[in-house]
Amino acid sequence: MISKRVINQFKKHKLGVIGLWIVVGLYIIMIFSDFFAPYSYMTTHSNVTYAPPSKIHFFHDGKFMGPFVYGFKKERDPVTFLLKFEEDRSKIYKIELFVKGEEYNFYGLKANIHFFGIKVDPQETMILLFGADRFGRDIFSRTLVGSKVSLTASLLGTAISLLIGAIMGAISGYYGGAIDVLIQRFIEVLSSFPRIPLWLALSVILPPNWPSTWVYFGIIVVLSLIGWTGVARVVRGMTLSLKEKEFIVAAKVSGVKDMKIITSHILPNMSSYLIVVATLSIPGMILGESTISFLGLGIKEPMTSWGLLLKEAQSLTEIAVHPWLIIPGFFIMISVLAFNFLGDGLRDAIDPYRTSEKV
Amino acid sequence: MSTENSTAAINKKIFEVSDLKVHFTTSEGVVKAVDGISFHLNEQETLAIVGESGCGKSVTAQTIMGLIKSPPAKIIGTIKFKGENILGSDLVREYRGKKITMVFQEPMASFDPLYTIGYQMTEVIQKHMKMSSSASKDLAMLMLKKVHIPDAERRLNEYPHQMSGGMLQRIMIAISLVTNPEILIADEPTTALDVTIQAQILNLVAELKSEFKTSTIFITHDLGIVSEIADRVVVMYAGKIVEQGTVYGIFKSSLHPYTQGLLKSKIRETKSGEELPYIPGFVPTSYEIPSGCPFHPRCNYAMEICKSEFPKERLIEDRLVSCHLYSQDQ
Repeated sequence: MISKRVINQFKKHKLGVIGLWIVVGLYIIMIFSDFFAPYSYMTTHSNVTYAPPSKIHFFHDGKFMGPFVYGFKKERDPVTFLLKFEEDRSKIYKIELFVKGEEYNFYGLKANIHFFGIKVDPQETMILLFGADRFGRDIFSRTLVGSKVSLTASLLGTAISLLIGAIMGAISGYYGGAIDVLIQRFIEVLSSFPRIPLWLALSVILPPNWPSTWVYFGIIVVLSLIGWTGVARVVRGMTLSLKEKEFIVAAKVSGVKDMKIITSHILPNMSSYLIVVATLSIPGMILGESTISFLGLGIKEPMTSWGLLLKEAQSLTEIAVHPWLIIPGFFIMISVLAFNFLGDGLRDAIDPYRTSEKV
Repeated sequence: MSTENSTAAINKKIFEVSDLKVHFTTSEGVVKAVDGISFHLNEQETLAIVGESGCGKSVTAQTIMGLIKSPPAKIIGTIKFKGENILGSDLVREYRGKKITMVFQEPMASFDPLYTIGYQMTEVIQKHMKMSSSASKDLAMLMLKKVHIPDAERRLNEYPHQMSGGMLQRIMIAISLVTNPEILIADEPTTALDVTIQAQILNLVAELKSEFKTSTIFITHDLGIVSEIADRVVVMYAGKIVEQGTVYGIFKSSLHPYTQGLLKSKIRETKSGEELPYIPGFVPTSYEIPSGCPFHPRCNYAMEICKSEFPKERLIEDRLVSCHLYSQDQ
């Protein structure tokens, strides 16, 4: 399945390798997101509402200082009455590593060490790499922590849809006949519904008073209830070809039960394809979660996810005045691209007929 | 060598197929893959079913094993194993794999590539013989030795792709005999192998047959193999049995024109430069089987009655033959 040949073949696929590293990097950042984030994702800071991203400087009056940020002073625009943030060049805050800051919960442990930050009370000034939102929360921190929802929901959703899809597809292909027709027509009906309204309809079922974690699992279920159809079709096709193979017939002849044949002979024989299908369906799941949250039916405040962060940037005026609000969108893009590259690379590597031609 | 066995064996029917019909309804018409065949298998005997591709040999084997689903296929007739009808009953699930086993044509495809040989052997042993895992491993090793696989212990931990086709077929035979079955059905077990390996496999089958005393149904289109291992022969053409009898009788003085044609088509009787003898015409497709005797368009002795009526089976000498040529004689 994953043999040396596959690994060597995969290494030749440059985009695939890049995708793999980006994916690994994203997941490492996700696991330690609270530590990498300079602030807590929930704490509001009324003094920095809609503050733009802070610029990182290295030279002050022509002298090298190492990375630092200036303090800021606020002014109201006399015409538009909007708050304007100006750099206060008299105050210098050096960016340091392993800074004590706002407390956070690190998988059950209380901690307050952040990977980087400035040693100053957040009420005075903050380092805001991606700016701040309307509650004065650091968007950079919220983006990092938001990856927890976006990246795990897509993974879990894919796992569940893979499970449903593999079982339904294998049953459909193996038994054939009326069961096959029934499952295939059901899939056709399910996939002929427009996706977004169907997601929305299903998300509305989730009670609004549910706690965030329940909503999170609810969304995963919604995503996978619709997402399994593609997997089921692929699995059905492969089952149709596998069940004619003599070792399946031989298993049948030796009296092995149908379910055992499916689980221990048919599905394992297509595992490499299932891995590819899974990798290629994760981007859809990331986008799905983002869509549901973007439309306001997914993850709720104060929790955070990439889709929810983008929701802030829903109106044109918001983007015009606070363009930094769409930065989380780039994370969606990068992760989707990385998974697609990774999936492409895996698909090419696993396909035994591609060994001779090199692309 | 097997003819000696047959004379020694008691002529007791262990298995009997009567008036078996397997029809498939397709959009292009009804395919009569097997159309009313009757034969039996005696204890400890080797019965060869011969015929060209598409004559219904394999469908017969699959029907016996309960591999053909009905519906969609239409299956009529009886298949009796030790006097009990197993066709369409749950008994077939109980018997297959244990009392009736099967060896397939393609040894390379008969094993799941993901599991070791040992795993696949012990799986069968544990399923049917309720043995502990260490006992079943010992038995698997013993069986490998019986089919002359050297270094059996190491081979148990190897995967199918690490072996040759001949070895895999020998292991397949080992697996099919491990439950000590009463009937072994071999569906062209040597077709995918080269000639020297074929000889090895045939010797092995004959050797094991005398040890395990298994009755065997051997499906093949190779008359050379038939003459070597079979006790009795069933000749099929287009879903029907045209002639059956002892291998001696059929090879010495075949009665049906089709059997005669088959025997004449053997290469060794021609000199170089001479055109090879053959049966004129083509095997009919399953959709357009000729009326009456299906062989009549290709038959040199065809008469008017052959076009309309399939001849009844008649016992001549030690053979059952279905041909109008012999209708008047009786």
